[in-house]
Amino acid sequence: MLKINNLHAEIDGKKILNGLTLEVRAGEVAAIMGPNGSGKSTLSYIIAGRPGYEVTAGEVLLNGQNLLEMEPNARAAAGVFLAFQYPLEIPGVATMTFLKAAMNAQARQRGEAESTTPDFIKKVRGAAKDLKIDQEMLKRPLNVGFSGGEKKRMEILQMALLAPKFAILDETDSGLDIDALRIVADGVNALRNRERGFLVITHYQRLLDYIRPDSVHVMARGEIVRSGGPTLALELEKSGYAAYSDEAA
Amino acid sequence: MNAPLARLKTVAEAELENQFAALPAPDPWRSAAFARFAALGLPNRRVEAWHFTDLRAVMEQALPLAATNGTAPQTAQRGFGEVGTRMVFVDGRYAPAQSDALPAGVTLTRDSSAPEAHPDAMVTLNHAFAQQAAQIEIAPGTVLKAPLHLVFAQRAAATAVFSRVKVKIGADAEVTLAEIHTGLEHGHQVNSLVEIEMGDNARCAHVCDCEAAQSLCVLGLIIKLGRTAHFNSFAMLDGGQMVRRQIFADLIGEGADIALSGLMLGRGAAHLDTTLTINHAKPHGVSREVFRSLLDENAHGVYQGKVIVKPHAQKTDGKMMSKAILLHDGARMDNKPELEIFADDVVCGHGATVGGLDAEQIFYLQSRGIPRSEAEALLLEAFAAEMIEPVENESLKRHFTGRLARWLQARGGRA
Repeated sequence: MLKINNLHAEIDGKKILNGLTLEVRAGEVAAIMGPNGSGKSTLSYIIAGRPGYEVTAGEVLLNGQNLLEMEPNARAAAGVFLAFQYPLEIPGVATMTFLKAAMNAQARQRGEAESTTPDFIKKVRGAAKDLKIDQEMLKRPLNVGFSGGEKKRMEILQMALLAPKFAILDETDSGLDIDALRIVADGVNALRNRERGFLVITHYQRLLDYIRPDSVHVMARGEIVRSGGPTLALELEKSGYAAYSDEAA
Repeated sequence: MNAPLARLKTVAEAELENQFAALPAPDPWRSAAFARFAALGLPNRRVEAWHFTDLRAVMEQALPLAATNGTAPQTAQRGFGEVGTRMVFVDGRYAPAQSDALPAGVTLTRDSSAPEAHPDAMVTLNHAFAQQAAQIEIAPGTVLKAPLHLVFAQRAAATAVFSRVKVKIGADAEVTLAEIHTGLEHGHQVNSLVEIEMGDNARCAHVCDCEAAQSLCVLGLIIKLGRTAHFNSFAMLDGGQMVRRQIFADLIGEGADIALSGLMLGRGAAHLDTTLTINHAKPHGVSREVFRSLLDENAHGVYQGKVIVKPHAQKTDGKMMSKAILLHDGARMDNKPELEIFADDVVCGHGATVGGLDAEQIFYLQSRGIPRSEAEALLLEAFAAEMIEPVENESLKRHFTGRLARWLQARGGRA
């Protein structure tokens, strides 16, 4: 499904990714853990197409399609979704307006029919209910004045509606209390299926108690330094990242 | 050696002088006003309030005065929305045949009394040339549900138009005033002055719409607010060669409240200027000034706001903000917010920003599948529409929303 081969990237001349290689199969939930500054967020941004990074070598393929040559919106239409660590506030754009614009734009780019308004509203209401998102929130400008937990739930709502082929969750657990974490994790787990791949980026093992990964990868200094099964996360929880930090290198 | 040099008159200034001399027997106060104007000359960058809008340089000639009788084309007379009472001014003169009957509590008379001398050269020039000041009086306690539309329409010829309307809003009266400048596609020179006097506890919701096309417009608004009077205003200025909107507000009664907002939409070589002075003379006054600009191509925007708090105007609450988005390397914005505070117990603040669209917001929208051009259009519309949102009258709000959509559409999907 997602193949990252020997990815090198830098920002303002500073090297962040140093030959990162990773494969996530369809239906797999892969977790990436690592110390702060190891390049986890950079990796998620490069897959989604945030400007400002220079990819100096390597490729990122989604079902054989080279994502790096595509505009961020084309990547989204091809099935990539990034749940942001810090979702942006968009003043003046009502959440419903935004959701409709996003769904219609993706449908258009894929040559599919746009959903009708009643159909759209039904979908949004259903997904919002599952995530305990109040209808009133959907009328407000996107993320403006939302709490940290509300913003994260809104990210999962978008993911549920856009039904991506491959989803990246960037530190989705940060700033969440245990109840919010459970709601978010339930939302993610409901979307797990045999076709959909996930990349779950987290600093702490806690999230992985709720979203059980199939594989765990440790990232340090811009590359994957160790890979293993779910037990690797527990091991890291005990030993910490000291063995992978710059000081220890 | 140091003998004072007579200031050299520009061609336009000389033409104005000739035009004034040719007027048949103007009132002495008009002659006095013209003499004051002649001493000041056309405003230019050496005059602080006109520093960014050099009218003397731009106004190469003074167009001939519009004839005193005429009928504006039908298309130029419409107010906006279907709801409201239209008062049409053709080339600056009230045109009763094209206007609606006045509602109860509203009278219209001709006023030829001498106005208070004003320090601004263009207000002074208006006093000298405006041939007929219309005085609209709204009786105390009158509550008008439908808006009064002041439609300033021009005939199809490149002429100079001076208009002056005084609006007296009696104590406890409530009115929505829509000031509409239309028919400006033939390269007019417009000098309009609206003077509003509000009695105690009166309320006025004002909007101003100026789609200036190829004209040079100076739109003056002088407001005096009585005790606990409330005035709010939204203005949309776009296009044109040059539009200068200047507002002079005096909060002369205690607890008066004024909220001014506006949207300037510039493209081509448009020069759009909003300059305002708020004078807090009494305690417990509130003033809010919130302006936004979208500037594309080589447009130039100017916002100057001066809030003065007099020594006795304690407990004044003033806030001012101007934000501009530049859509092109050639676009430019000059912001000059100023506070002059002579009282010690006040809360006043101001801010101004100029920038491009937020790259992070664009990426966020794009990451959801929205193409870049559409993401930009969404963000621009949101930025501008937030200014229109507070307009209470639904038909006026629809009008401005439609105008904004057309302006954005004309921009197309360009980055």
